[in-house]
This record gives sequence, structure tokens and C-alpha cells, in this order.
Amino acid sequence: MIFVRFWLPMTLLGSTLAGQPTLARETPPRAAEPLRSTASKIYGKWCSDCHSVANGPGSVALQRKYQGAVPAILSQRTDLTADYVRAVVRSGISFMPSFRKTEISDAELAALADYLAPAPGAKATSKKAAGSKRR
Amino acid sequence: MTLPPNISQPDFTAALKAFAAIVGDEWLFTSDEDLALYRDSYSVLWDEAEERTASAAIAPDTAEQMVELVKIANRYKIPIYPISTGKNLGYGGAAPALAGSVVLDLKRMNRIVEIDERQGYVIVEPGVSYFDLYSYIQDKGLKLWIDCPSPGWGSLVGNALDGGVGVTLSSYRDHFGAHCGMEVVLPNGRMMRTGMGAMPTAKTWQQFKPGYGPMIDGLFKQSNYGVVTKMGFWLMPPPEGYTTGTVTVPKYHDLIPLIDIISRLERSKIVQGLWMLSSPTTGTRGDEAHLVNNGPPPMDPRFAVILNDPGGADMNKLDAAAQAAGVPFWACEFHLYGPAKFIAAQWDCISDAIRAIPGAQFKLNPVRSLPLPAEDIAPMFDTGQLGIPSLRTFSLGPMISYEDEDVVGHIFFSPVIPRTGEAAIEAMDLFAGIARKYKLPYPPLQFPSSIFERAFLFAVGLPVTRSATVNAKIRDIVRELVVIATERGWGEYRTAPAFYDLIMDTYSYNDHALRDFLDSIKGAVDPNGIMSPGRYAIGTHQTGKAGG
Repeated sequence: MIFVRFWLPMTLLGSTLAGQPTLARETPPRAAEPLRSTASKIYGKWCSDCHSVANGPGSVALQRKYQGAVPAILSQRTDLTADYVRAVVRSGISFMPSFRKTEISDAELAALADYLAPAPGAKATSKKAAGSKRR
Repeated sequence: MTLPPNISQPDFTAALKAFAAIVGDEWLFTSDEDLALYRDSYSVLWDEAEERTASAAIAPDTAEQMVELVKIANRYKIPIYPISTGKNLGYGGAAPALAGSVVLDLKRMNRIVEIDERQGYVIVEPGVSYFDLYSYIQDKGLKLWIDCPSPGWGSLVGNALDGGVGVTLSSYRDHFGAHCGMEVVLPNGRMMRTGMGAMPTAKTWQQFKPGYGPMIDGLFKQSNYGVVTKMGFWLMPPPEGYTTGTVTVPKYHDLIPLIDIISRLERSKIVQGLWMLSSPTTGTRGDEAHLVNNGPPPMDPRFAVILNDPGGADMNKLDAAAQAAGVPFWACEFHLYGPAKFIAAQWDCISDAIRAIPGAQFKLNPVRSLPLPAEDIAPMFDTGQLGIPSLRTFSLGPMISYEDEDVVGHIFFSPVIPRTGEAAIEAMDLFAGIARKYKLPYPPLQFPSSIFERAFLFAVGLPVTRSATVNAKIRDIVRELVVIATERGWGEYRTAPAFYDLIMDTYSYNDHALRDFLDSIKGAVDPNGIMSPGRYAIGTHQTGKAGG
């Protein structure tokens, strides 16, 4: 499985900082740039374990729901719209719970929606940079 | 806007303004659309008057901000409800225990504060998930393993504090038991460190649990006495090798000596990994029953007719049919870790002991060097035994619809039963009977889990729908299960918020002495009652009974 490396402050391996009340502040400030780089990485972190393999719980549920009328693997779908992706992530559907803005920010969700529902003419597999939004 | 109970609009508005000044407007959520994200997706009270929803949510970034938020909550008497990753699905999700509470969403506090390969520990903030820690360890190439529950997007801190468990070696499976030292913001806004961390110059905060004086870490498990902002965990070295071995025994009642022997091996630390019971009569191993790609493998018709009997599966008939067919009634799969020669020695000891049961058979799979190649991991039902987090638990096979309603989630009735064959047989019969009575989506045979070290967990998954009528029926079934289990002395280890009070009431020895003690602590440490009110039903009763 591939998971994006969440931005986590470097820690001092093998050194004990315990006991210093300012420990949390000794780490660099949180990165201000758009988190977790690209949409494919967001997908990898939050979606792929359920949705990118045939025996994933999301794929199994979609296969049951659509009976093969659309691909069960989410990234192979060509019928998704960005609005639909956004709505499902924020509302949840079936066994899939909703995701909060502290987990997937609005900007990240826009990038994710763009990734799963590319503008007409774009390849479904295109890896657009996070932050490119389709309105 | 929903208001917290007994809070005026001006006070609430002033409190929210003060909260926002600490975390920034971006991290204060008050709109209906945003607060919908703090509903429990698996609530068995969905859309009903009793559903517990938040009045606001705040997402702090540091423990220092937390201190300030708690002080503000005290000033205005605002009930606050900290969550970690908010993914405690089936046990509350991101929703508060008391409607109108302000959720403190700690997902942004996702720092791995310290990780020490040499001494095998990590200190994490509450927002760090098992996925996060696993990725970090992989990226850095550290020689450390994690023990994760499924699903892997849960929080190490949150899971441990809710009594959660994993699937590798027994001492690491108990996540609260594998913690060492915590930092807590108390309900008065004061920050405290437990164990050796109470010494400002401590060098062994993550090496020595007892510390000095009473061990109080347990007060923060399943409680509402503070917000844990950092927590240390012991991590295991990556095992050199891994394999599984399967033992079968022929007869139904062979379960009784089998469990006695395995329990003795566990108490001797010869069996250290998880072991899983199943019955070859069902044609599948217990966990594989969840695999629904092509449906579970077809059952042998000779057994299916007995297992699917509308009047209930008669185990004596199944026992006779299995023996006539030469199919063993029980299989037990052991997960084994370590150098190949160590696994071989363990297997020899396991085989020597179980050979006392006539007809027992043994099969050890080849020991694999770790880490396994990705292509071998991909098709596995669960990767947790390899220390790899996943979401595969959501393949909960039979739960698709109930009473013509789509199943959208689950709750668990999770009693702890004795680690004996007699208790296992009694529980299997009893819960299968309830499942039949209410036509629940339930496997033909369900087995107790060896996830705890000295007791069985018998988790009965119950469907959650979006129908209030069907959910009310499920709640009634839970109440019936609680009565039945309590009569037998089987208590629940953890429960959904809808049942906090119900379960707390079952722990009633000497006129609720435990509950009264917990309530007394609550009154002492949280006089304003602002910290996670309602959580685990602590502080929700009339207290102050004299004597006992």
C-alpha cells in the first residue's frame, strides 16, 4: 500500500527531549504551502485502500451497487463529476463515513475532485497538481 | 445555532470569539454545513431527537492552545468534547457524548514528537493515525513495527484511551497496556505529565510506567478527566520471520481441552501471537467469511443444511455430520513471529501440547522472511498481523441490508467472556439464537476472539441504518443482549455513546460503588463539568452517597 508521507516535524532520533515543556515548539512551524502535495497523494492517503483494488471494501460496495455498469475501481470511473465527489466525501455514503475539513481541506478536496473527475478532454489518469481547481 | 445546555446566547457568542482568538477563525466551525461533519456517521440515533450533535467545533494545533481553550471553557462553563482522529466508528465517531458540546477536533495535532529506534518507543500527539506513523517509519527506514487496529486511520492516542486492541504480539495488542507516559491538560487548564514525565529532567518517561506514587494513567482511559495531548507507546522490533500454523481437532467438545491447552501456552509465553478459531464445516476460515468478492466459498451441502436450519444450527448434528465426513470440527490458526528456529521451537511446543487431543492434526506453513513483497500482501484479507495498517475491515461481509434498509454502519455489542471452551460454546449458542430471533445478518457460526490475553472478546456486530424504526429495534436488541450477558457475568469492554449509561449500570457491585467513586473524582477535578460531559456515563448521576 502507498500512503503519502504526512508532513510531520523531524524529531531527534534517539535523543530524549521529554521534560522540556516547550518540546512542541521546538519543531519547525507547520508548512504553510498546500498540504500533502498532489491530488494523487491525497487519494493514496484517504481513498485508495478501499477504492483502488478489486477486493477493497469500496470496490466491493460499488460492484454490488452498479453490478458492473460502471467500473468498481473509483479511479477508472469516467462518469464522476467534481460536485459529486465533493458531496460524497463531505456527506459519506453507505459504509463510507464523512470526512472533516481537518482531514481533507476544501482545497485538497477540490484537487481530489478534479483528479477523480477531470475536465472533459483530460485523461482520467492525469495527475494534476493539487490546487488546480475546476469550477 | 444549537446552544450548549444551560448556556446563554451572549455567553456562547463570547466564548466562541475567545476560542477563535486562540485557534484562528479558519479553525472554528459553526455553520450547519460544517457541523454536519461532526455527526457520527454510524450513529444508531441518526436524525432522532436523541442524536448527539455539536454546537460548534474547534481545531487547535498545539497542546498550549488546548490549555487556553480549556481555560475559556471554564470561564463560560462551555462543555467541550475532545476527539482525536474522529474515526472511532461504531463507538461515537466525531460526535460528542452530550448534545450541544463544542467538539475539540485534534486532528491537526499530528506531530510525531519523538521516536526512538534504539529504545523502541514513540511519543505522538492525538491526531497521529496508524497510517501516519507507519508511513513515517517506512520513510525513515526505522527498524520498528506498529500494532494497529483496523481500520488504520484511527489515532494511537484515541484508540488506546478507548480501550482498543490490535493483532500482533499479546503485549502490544493491548494498546493502553503498551503505552508509557502521557501529557494531559486537566479540566482546570493545567498541564500534567504522568509517570516519570512528572520529573522535569526525566530521561525515562517512556521506559518506566509506574513513576512515583499512584499510577493514574488508567484514570484517562474511557473517561472524561482531561485531554491527553501526548502519549508514549512501546513499539516492537520488526520480526525476522512470520508464518501461520493451523491445528485441527475433530470433535465439537474438543474445544474445551483445546482452549485450556492454548491458554496454558499463552500464560507460558509460548503462544504470543493472535490465534483464530474457525470451523472447517463452514468451508472457510473465520476472517475469510468477510471476503465477498465472489461470495464466500460454497458450503458443503451436508453441513449447509444443518448450519442454515431455520430452527437453529444443532451443534450435535453438525458434530456427527463432520465426523461422518471426516472433516475436523475446529481449526485454530496461530500467527507466529521471530527467527525461523524460534518459530520452529514454538510450533514444536504447541504441537506437543495439543497432541494430547486424539485426532489433532498440525500444519505449519513455510516461514517467510520479512518484509514480504508487496504482491504477497495485496490479496491478504487483513495486513494487521504484519504491522501494516489498512481499511480492509470495512469488508464486513453479511451486513448489506437489514429489514429492507441499507446498512450504512455498525455498532458492536462487545462482551468479555471467560477463556474457556464452555463459555465459548455458551456464547456461540446464545448469540446465534438472538441473531436468528431477529433475523440479523450474522455468520452461520461466529467465534470468540483471542485478542485479549486472558479473556475472550465476543464482538457481535449489529447493523446501523438510516431508518429510525430499524435503529430503534437494534437498540432494543442491544438492551436484550446486555441483560442476557449481565446475567451470565459477561461485561462489555467498550460501547457506543448511546449505551454508555446502560453499560455503566451493569457494573453495579455494592450499589454502584465504582460509578460513585468515578463521579466523586469527576466532581473534584472538573467542578464546572466542562470536560467531555456524558462520556462513559461518568458524572451523569446523583452522587454523594454515604458509606458503602
